[in-house]
Amino acid sequence: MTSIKQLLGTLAMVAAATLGASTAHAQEKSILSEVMKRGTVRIAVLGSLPPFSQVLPNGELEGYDIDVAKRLAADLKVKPEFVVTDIPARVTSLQTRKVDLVIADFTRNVERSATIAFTDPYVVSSLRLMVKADSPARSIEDLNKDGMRIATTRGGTAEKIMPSVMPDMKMVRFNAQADELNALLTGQVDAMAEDTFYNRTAINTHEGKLRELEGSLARAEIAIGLPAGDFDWYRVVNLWVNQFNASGDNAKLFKKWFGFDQPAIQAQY
Amino acid sequence: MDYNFTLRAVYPYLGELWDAMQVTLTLSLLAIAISLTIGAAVAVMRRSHHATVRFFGSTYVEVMRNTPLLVILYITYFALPTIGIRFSSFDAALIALSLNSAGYMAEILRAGFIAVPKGQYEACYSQGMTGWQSFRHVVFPQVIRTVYAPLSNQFISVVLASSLASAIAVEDVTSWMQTAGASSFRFFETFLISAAVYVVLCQSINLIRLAVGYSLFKNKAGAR
Repeated sequence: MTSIKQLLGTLAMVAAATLGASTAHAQEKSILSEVMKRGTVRIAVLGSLPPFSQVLPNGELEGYDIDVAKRLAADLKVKPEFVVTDIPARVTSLQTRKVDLVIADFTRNVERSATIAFTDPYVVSSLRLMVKADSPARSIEDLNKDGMRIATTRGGTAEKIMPSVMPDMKMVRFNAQADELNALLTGQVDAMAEDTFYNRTAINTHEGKLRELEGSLARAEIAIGLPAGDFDWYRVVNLWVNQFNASGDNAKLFKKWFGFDQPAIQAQY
Repeated sequence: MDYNFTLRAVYPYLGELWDAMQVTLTLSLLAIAISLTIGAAVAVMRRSHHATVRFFGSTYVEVMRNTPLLVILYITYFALPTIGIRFSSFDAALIALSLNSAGYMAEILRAGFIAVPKGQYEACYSQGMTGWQSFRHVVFPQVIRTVYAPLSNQFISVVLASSLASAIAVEDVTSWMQTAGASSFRFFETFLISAAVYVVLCQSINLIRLAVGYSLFKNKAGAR
């Protein structure tokens, strides 16, 4: 009996410590001064999403996001320190202050923005449907029907917006893009909803087997993520993004990695 | 550590959790029933007088026990369609889970058969009982008593293994955990809730098993 009481006591203490810790950092200094003092900026990137970023066999990182990160660090006159992360950890690594920035094909939206901060976008992509080359579907409407199955990834942007854009289809959820693509190629789903940059790469690797449908399901504004509540740090990084876009350096880097011209960043209202 | 633990953020997703629990429970109960049936057949095969039948029984058990469930799930969902056999996510998961669990069920039941002393069979024979009569009145009641407790381990294993089905797009509790966690950014909360849900589901199945055991054996010791 005593051991159960002791266990409950320990649990209560752990719970209290977890809840109490949330208010502890209110008085912290700006990340900006910490980065300058440290001489390094810690940046979370993805390990396997070419051409955005990928880990090479020798352990080095390369890709468009990596070059963007290196350019930003150079302009801040500090060294970049890369932290390889995955899709769900992008938000949590900022929440727990494990990194100062996330540059990882990170689409900004209001929901995410309630927990972390975003700069202005440095790339704008679109969510498009990819089907098998021999599919009878010609438009988004052809697939917005009862009995049509469309693959998405859990926690991705598509999962959230698909029910409102295509209310009549059935969503089939997977954990990774590779599983979505497998399901599409083996006919388990009729289409998959992914970023158009991902689709173009897949269409090139599986020559003659896949094609993309006309029309965009959603606009994806890819931006740099920062911890919430630090205006000084946001101010500096956001200014850098705006100047990086305006100078034309961004367009050149994009062309180098993607092989086609960068889509317009400014939205057309 | 800067994490503001609050269950309230997960409230909007609880309706979907209820649906997910039903999927997990249906999948697990069906898989338990089917694998128990296949398992019984394989256990009988392994005690056959014919070497070929024994060989097929043993091969089935060893193949299923030595293959990761995830691989069987991928084969039933992603590989079979390429040769023209197509199953829905749920059906593919049910088939994979049942086939995998049957390997273990067969071994548990076989142990139950071995536990019945040879003298019992001889006694039946000397009383002039037919094969079916001796199985129904003498052997089977003893087998079920021996394996009743070890079976509960396997029942729980099936419930927990069903969490892998989310990899082939089954909308179970694990799928809910990842989806709700990713859309609310409250992974810690959804992980804890899912863990609690699995404890409740496993224990419910265990309580049903105990209740059936009490009425079956008319004494408490046999049911545990």
